[in-house]
Amino acid sequence: MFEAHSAIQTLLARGARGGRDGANGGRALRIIERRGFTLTQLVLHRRSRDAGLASVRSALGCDLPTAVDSVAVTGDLRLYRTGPEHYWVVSSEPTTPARLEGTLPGELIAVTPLSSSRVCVSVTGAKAGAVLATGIPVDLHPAVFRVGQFAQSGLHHTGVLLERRAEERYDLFFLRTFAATLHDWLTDAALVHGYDLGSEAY
Amino acid sequence: MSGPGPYRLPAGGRIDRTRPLAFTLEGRQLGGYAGDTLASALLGNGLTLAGRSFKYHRPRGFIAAGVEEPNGLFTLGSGGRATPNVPGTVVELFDGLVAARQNGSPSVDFDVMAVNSLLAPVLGAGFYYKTFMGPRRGSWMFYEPFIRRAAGLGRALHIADPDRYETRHAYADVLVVGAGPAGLAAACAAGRGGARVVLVDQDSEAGGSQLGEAADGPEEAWRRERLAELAAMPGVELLLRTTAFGLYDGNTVGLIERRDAHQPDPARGEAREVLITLRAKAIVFATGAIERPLVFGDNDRPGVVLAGAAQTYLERYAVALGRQAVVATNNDRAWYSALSLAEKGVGVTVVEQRATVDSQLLARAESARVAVLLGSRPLYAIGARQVEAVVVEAAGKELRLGCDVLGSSAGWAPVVHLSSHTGIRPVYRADIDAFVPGGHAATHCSAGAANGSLSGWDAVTEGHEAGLRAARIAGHEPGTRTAVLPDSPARTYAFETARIPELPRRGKAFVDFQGDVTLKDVHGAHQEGYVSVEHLKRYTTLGMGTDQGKTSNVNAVGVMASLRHLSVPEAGTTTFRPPYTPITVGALAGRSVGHHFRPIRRSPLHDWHVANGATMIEAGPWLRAWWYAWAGSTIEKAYVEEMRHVRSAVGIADVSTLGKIDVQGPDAAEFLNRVYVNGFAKLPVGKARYGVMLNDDATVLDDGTTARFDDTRYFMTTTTAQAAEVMSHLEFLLQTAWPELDVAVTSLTDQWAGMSVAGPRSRQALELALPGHDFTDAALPHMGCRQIEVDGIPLRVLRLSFSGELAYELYAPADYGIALWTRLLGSAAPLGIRPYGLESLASLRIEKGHAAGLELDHRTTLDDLGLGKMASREKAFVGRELRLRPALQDPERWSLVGLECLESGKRLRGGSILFAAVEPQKGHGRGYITSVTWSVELQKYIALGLYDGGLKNVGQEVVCAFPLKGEQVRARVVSPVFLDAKGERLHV
Repeated sequence: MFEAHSAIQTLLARGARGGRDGANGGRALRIIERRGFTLTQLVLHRRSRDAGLASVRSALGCDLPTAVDSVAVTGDLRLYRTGPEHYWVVSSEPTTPARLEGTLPGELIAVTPLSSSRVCVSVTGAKAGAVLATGIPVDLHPAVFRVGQFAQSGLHHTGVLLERRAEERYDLFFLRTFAATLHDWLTDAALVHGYDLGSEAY
Repeated sequence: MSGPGPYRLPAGGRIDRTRPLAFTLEGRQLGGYAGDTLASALLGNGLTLAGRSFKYHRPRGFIAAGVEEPNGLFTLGSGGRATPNVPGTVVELFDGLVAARQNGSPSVDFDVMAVNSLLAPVLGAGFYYKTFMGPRRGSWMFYEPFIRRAAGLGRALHIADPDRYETRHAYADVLVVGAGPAGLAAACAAGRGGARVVLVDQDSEAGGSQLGEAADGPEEAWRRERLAELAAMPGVELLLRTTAFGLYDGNTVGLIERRDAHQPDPARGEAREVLITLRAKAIVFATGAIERPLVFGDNDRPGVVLAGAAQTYLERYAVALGRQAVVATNNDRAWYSALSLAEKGVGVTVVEQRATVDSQLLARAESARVAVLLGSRPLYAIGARQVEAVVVEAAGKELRLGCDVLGSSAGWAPVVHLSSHTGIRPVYRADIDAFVPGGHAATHCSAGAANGSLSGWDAVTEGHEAGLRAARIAGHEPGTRTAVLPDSPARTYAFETARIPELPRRGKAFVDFQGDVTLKDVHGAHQEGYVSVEHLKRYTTLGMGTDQGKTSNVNAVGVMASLRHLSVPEAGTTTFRPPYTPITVGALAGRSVGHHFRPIRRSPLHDWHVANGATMIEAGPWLRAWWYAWAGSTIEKAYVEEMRHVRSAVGIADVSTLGKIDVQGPDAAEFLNRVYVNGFAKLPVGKARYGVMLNDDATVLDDGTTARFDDTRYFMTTTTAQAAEVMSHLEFLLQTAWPELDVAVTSLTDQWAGMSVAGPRSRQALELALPGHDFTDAALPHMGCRQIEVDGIPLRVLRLSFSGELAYELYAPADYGIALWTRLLGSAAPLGIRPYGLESLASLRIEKGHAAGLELDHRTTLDDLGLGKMASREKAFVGRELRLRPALQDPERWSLVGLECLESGKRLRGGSILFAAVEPQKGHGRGYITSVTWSVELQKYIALGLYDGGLKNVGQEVVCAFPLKGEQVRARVVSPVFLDAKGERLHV
């Protein structure tokens, strides 16, 4: 059986005590890789948009979101509108990409499995926003970037999708080939606050 | 202390006498208090000599108490932490601070360079354009090292800085710059309506000008009330020790927060400075005003200060700058300074330019026993290391007044720098002889002294109105309360423009202290024809020091205007640019230093390479396996052994870095047909095709393959180097050139791990590793492609070759890249399979004559590379028209050839210039070498290159010249396909 190998599993395993104490001796953050998610991109072909939407509705059991900054959740599926006619479908059910490829007609919708292309890292804790604000130019004030919202922005010269899962939890989707360098950046940003590292199921 | 000069008062001020601090000056231990600056602590210890001037090395003292200080620049700290050119007036004293004065050799106290003073006649403005020019050409380079050593103030370091610098993004509804009376009022007004307010101040305490007033008066009560009010508003953030250094487009302001006083420990992640990029919906500039001095003879003697600074040292730091003061001025504000000095026991004489002054001020002066001379002005100061007296002209007569402190004031200049950064030039107001903001963007306003409002409590009312307005711009409703004013009488600011200074009878009259620019220099520049203010500045260096002319620009413009018989606005002012005060490069770099400087991309197979003997190399943004230890102990040996192994057995290389692009949609085939020069409209399912893309100008953009895995799905690969460019190119075409095409392109570079299995045993390797799948020539012919499933994982297999051997490219989802790689290595071990790296990968293709990055340099065309026949004659494609320009079709263009080295023991080098065998080696030659490798097949060095006339020269001898190493090597022009011209190895 083929075994999966994460882009940052070696980095996470490194370091004594799974993290580092901050300037005050404590650890104000958790930086956790979330493994096992699937990601499938859907792009509706413009000429057949309505037929495509109908097809998606019957395959997913829900409509695609229209808002550009809010995650639509249906059962196990998290749907993001990432561009004109572009959508991400994120799920912890491993068969989702194959199911979508199998049921959505290629003449109407471009289905592209991208599960390996991203690494998901959760940053949680009272200082999560402060640490992310050192590199991401998004206003993270809870009244402006509310729970359930996401933003596509930049971090350390790369593109990143940032989602607010809870008051003090942010999920980041990094490009896989940049994941190690971004993880390095993140732990350096969190140095003064102290952090725990780990890996958990999505 | 009872001598002349500064001393600490036993009580008063805002310093905390319960917290004494120890610091060193050039190794000497001194004491101060919490709340002191370095300057106030030095003055409190009776030390007046703060440094030596730039050119003349004249002894200098502090003239100011704030950022405008031109003289007292210090080097703080030691080792990698040393910071030069820091004004002592802004340094917050902390325990253990280490400081040294600058520009004295061997020391500031005993400075041999003071001899420069004797050379003064030679050292006027622009002296370096008029001296050190001879006796011969090139003489300047003889003088240059001496001048370099003598020039400058502090010294820059060449050792690493151990400190940490942080950056962050911040957002606000309202940004208020400056926490003086106007700023405090603005922040309170804006905050009341619930707006998110950020109030910044460069000082360590909020209060601005009020910090220079009595520490126990009604104004102090007002200040504390406002701060308490702000502290109670959760949406208000007060950032002290934070300078707003620049205003940029989009209401973006650059801030630097300094944390030196907290003595941050970088090992614990604590930053010394934080660069904040703040975006606000509305901005209030409450940046205050800076006093400027009068210009008269020897006005740079230690003890000659700004009148307001004398007051600030007294009220804030409990340091009296002398026992006998003269205050020379043209405005009411300096009178309040004089009164403040007199109240604390300093003997004061006011030398006032105006003939009449407000009677209340005169009455107060009388009861405070302040002597007054009306209609008077200073002519020159007397003293060397300390001012001893000043000669003034009073009612037509000359008087000598003894003093050990001389405060001067020519008026207050609003700080308009920040609000002018985006290009709105300030305008002149004759009533205060100063520049005020010339206008504001819709979301900006100025309030208080920054706006030219220098009298009464206008600052508070203006600040309040500005705060209300800013809150409304940001979408909040702050209510209609009126401003709360301090419970103390408003101060007047009656003012008369200072007389234009005349050339002094005695001594030098300095206009710019830091640049050592005198009134005579300004006159001289004018005489020499440098009449525009921009030329004056650059020729004399006036205003070009670290203080950026904060105490000199307005005086200089006044002098210049009078010389040119113009009004001040006609003479103009120079442009204000960020930063307002100097900022460190460290703060700009932030954490982007060392390996955080830029991101590095890693292949999904990275961890395996590192654990298995690969030497890694940076290739663009990637880290790639360069060569493996199994093949040899050096790169030179290893890459050759890896090449040999691929050609004789089988090797596996990581090609995950190749650009991979998903192309889907009803118009995908048409789109591919337009971007490639060759036909893609009818690419069958199960086939891959090599394609070349051109830029609009017909130079080659990239080459790669596109494979069609099913009816609607195309898989494009590009070179590693061009992946991002090609992706942008495709998006650009779809969004702007052909928006009618219905195509979706998505980068797959991160999604798929790619590996090349190459060599005569490669098919067997696949059969061993992936049993149950048919890899025979019939099932998977050359340029065929197939998607298969192994253990539930989809894999993509393409049969194509970069090396010229039988070869396959396999792609697995990146999560399973290492799993597939190790399976191939494990299952095919009996065949001798070995990994090979970037060096051999790039060299094998040279033997086969494949153009790659070094040949695709955006200067070469399809025909240059011998690929002209690929271009379709039937369809339109990007670059088609411009390809046919006569110059690009010229048969004499440099085009692709192969080269064989004719001299054993010598090597060919990339970049060598090619000449015909018998011709003088001058100029650019007839071509150059692009790629080189040792050929295992031919056992000699071979190369690809571009040569005049290309393959018409096959068989001819050329000379490869490498002037950087003085080498010349003979070679022969051959076909670039060094082996297997018929491609037999590919079609087994």
